Amino acid sequence: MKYIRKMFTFLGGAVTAVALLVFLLIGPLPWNNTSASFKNIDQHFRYGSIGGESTNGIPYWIWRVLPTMFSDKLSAPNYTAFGFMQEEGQDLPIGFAKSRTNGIDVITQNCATCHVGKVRTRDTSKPQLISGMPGHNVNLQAYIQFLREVSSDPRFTSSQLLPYIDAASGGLNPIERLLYRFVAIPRTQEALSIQGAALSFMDHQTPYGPGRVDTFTPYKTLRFNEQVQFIKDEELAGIADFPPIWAQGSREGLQLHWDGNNDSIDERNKSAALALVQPSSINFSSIHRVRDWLLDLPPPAYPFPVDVKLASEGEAVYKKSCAECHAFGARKTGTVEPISKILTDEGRLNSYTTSLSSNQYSLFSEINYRGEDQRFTHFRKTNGYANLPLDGVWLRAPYLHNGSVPSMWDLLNKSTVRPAVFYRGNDLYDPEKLGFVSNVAEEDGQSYFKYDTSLPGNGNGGHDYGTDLSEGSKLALIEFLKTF
Amino acid sequence: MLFMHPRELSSSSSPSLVYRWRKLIRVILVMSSLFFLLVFPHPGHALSDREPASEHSVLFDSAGSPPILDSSLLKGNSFESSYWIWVVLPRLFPEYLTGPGGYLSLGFAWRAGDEVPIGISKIQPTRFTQSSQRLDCLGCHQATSLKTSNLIPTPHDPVNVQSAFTHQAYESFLRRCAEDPRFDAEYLLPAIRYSLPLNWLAEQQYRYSLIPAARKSFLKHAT
Repeated sequence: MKYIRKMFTFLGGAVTAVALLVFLLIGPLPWNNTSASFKNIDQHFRYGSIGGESTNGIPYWIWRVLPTMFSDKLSAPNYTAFGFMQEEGQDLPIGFAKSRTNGIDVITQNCATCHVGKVRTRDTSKPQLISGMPGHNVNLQAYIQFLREVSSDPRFTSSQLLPYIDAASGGLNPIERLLYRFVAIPRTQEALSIQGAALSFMDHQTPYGPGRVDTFTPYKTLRFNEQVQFIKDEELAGIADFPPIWAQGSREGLQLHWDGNNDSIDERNKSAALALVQPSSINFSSIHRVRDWLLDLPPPAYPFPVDVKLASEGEAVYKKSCAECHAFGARKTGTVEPISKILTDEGRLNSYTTSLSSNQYSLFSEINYRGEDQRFTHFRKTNGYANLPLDGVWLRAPYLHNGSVPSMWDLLNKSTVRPAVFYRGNDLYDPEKLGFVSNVAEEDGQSYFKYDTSLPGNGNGGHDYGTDLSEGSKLALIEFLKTF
Repeated sequence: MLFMHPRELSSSSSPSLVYRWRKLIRVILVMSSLFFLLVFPHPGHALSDREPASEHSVLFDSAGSPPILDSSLLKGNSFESSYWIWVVLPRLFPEYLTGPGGYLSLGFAWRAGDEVPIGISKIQPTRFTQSSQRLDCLGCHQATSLKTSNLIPTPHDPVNVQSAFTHQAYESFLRRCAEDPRFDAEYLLPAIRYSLPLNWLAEQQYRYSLIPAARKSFLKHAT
């Protein structure tokens, strides 16, 4: 009896010791969570986290080795293959943040993914990277398609990924290795597969190309599980240009988004963030820090010489032909122009539906920040596109909501003479036409995206305002717009 | 014996053993009480079924909800459940809807900006209870007026006008969801977690109390 009692005591002690050891090793993991944050606000905008670590993050080492392991699917064995911009000295491309959750580092994305762009003023100059500018060279769809493809690739297993991870990391510690083998890799593969299935509608859409995305269909299928087979074709042609996000303070109260469906900057910001985070995982303080900075962030000044005399002639043309809809404080600026008047492509307008808005009204319900209820209440279905202010317009090419008109010169011509086909993604600026070079298909081994205006959602018709001006007036107007 | 001081016990019982048992039982009673207090919902305070509407509504007078629309009359047929379970059902069981559009496909009218459609009342959460929802009188006594295909249908006459909403279709949808073997915490909780951060206690509330209660409520009038 004495020996049995001693045996049970020993066993009990051993079990307790093992449990304590496991608790000490794994228990602290959730308490070491971090969210990438930087003191410099521009750096924070580019590399800081806006949340989503626990819900949308991809484990860092998986993300890191994907371009190497699946280089057969890419034009370059790194993320610049998708147009993401890599700054010197940085581990991650712009738009990506590295944080820590439950014991492992994870990668999330932030606003800079779509809202940092680049421009070259000369053939030989280094591209200038500009925060707040539309990311006209970023092919987000290509990145999403890559993740869809790798998740269904039979190589996406622990046994095949771990050797690549070991080579890239120099070897994981035993706890991390176990986490990657049994949790991170299988769950990432599962999550990317589910996401990929929900995004299957992309296979039937007009290709987005760089600088554009279908804003709302992913929302419908990924977040609200709308069945792809029931989404009407007319809703699937809503691929829209990335907009600039500078000078947001002057936009408060204006109808925002291309179709003017929301007049709240905060709600619009959170809505955009939901492409990357969830209501339950958003980092409010980070989002608000970025928001406060963007309120006053000015657009960059036009870098080329301006003919001041010609520009002053253009000011008169602008006041007569454009200001009513585009000048800050003007009667129609920030209001919706009915589609029956503006006559531009309806795809983006049709993609936003009342059904979607009914789902949006429960987003952020019962969530408060700084004592304020965050629930979405501002979304409305409209019947046209919003008249936008033109600050920094020189950097916002291509033009119209779908980026179907390559330059301001083309926009001031009738739609019948606008380019039916052109190329997007070139960062070399054309100061004469006021837009990016768009007639070059390939350069130095890089192919640019062929934009076909005959495809659904790509129509370049409408907005015929100013097309009846004389050539001299058009040139003067363009000169004046350079001063914005 | 539980309330006897250890010194009063007979010499054949070990005083320290009994004292430990009493202490253990007291701890169990306190923990159980806390568990039931925190995990199982109490009937939360009920707000009026709908806040006084804007000038666009003809449903309310300036004093607020008129008595004839008090949904306590519907208590038995109101399909009351946790609000967030109700929210995620169209997303998790779209095959049981009559068409695309979530609850709009069942004919509900929805005032732009409102969290719930006309005919549904949301009871706000309290410190110890989750939010809940129930069908109210406006569920059946509403009419829709579709002005253009781009606007959310707007109600203009609550009584005696044929409405797009049918109680039977709504009841059928909820019943089919509740009968589905996936109507459990494993399937519902991830969808709820998308919208609302849930701590461990809240998850246990859903798992052991709110989801079974919702199933019971939706199947109450199943035939």
